[in-house]
Amino acid sequence: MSAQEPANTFKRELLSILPSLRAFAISLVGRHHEADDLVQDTIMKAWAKQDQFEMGTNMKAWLFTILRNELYSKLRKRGREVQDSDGLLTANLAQHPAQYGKLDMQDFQRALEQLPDEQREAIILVGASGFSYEEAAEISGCALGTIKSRVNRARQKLQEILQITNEGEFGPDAVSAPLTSRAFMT
Amino acid sequence: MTTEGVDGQIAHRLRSFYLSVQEEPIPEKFLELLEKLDLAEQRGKSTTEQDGDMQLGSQDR
Repeated sequence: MSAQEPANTFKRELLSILPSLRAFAISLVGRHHEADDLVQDTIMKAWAKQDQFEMGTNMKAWLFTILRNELYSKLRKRGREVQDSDGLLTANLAQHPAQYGKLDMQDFQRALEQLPDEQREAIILVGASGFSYEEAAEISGCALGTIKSRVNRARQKLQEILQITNEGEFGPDAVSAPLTSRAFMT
Repeated sequence: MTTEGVDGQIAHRLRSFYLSVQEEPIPEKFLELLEKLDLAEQRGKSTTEQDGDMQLGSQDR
């Protein structure tokens, strides 16, 4: 154990976690400039607080915690005007169509966006980021049982959504059909 | 296996979605940001006596 530049170790470790941190951000808010802002804010926060981090402990969990806290405080400040997840999504898809190779991915992200925030977070942490339920509970600042039930509900909801979109095929018709029939009545 | 509670198909799609993002190269700007932070810190250490004319990002004209 050499007394190397601790900042370098910190930076190296942070760098190695960055791809996963970014995937977390994008899974949470969509492929959106907001995801990049989140990652950037997280890097700066983490850097400023690096003295508080104990080397050898779980930096990934630490960074993820910073990111999600950052996100929720932003959302709170904004008074939840972002509930318009459809609007967000259209923006995402319009902005980066080329990055979506597979329709499957689009469907999935769309489904993900329909979940309540806490459920989305829970299923990503446990199902994709590779955290245990215990770690996820710690990151989200809630009880173990809460995380478990959030993951379960998220999974059920995803299943429902994905089934519906597969069968329906033309989602918007559900909306436009009543309008059309009304038009015919006049 | 982390599949306790997270079902097969959904879990699989979630993971492949996440992995596809994770495998993308890290955007330049994040690497640059880290470089900047690192540099600022090193300079801060070696020039504690001088007054800080190193600013991160903010320049008013």
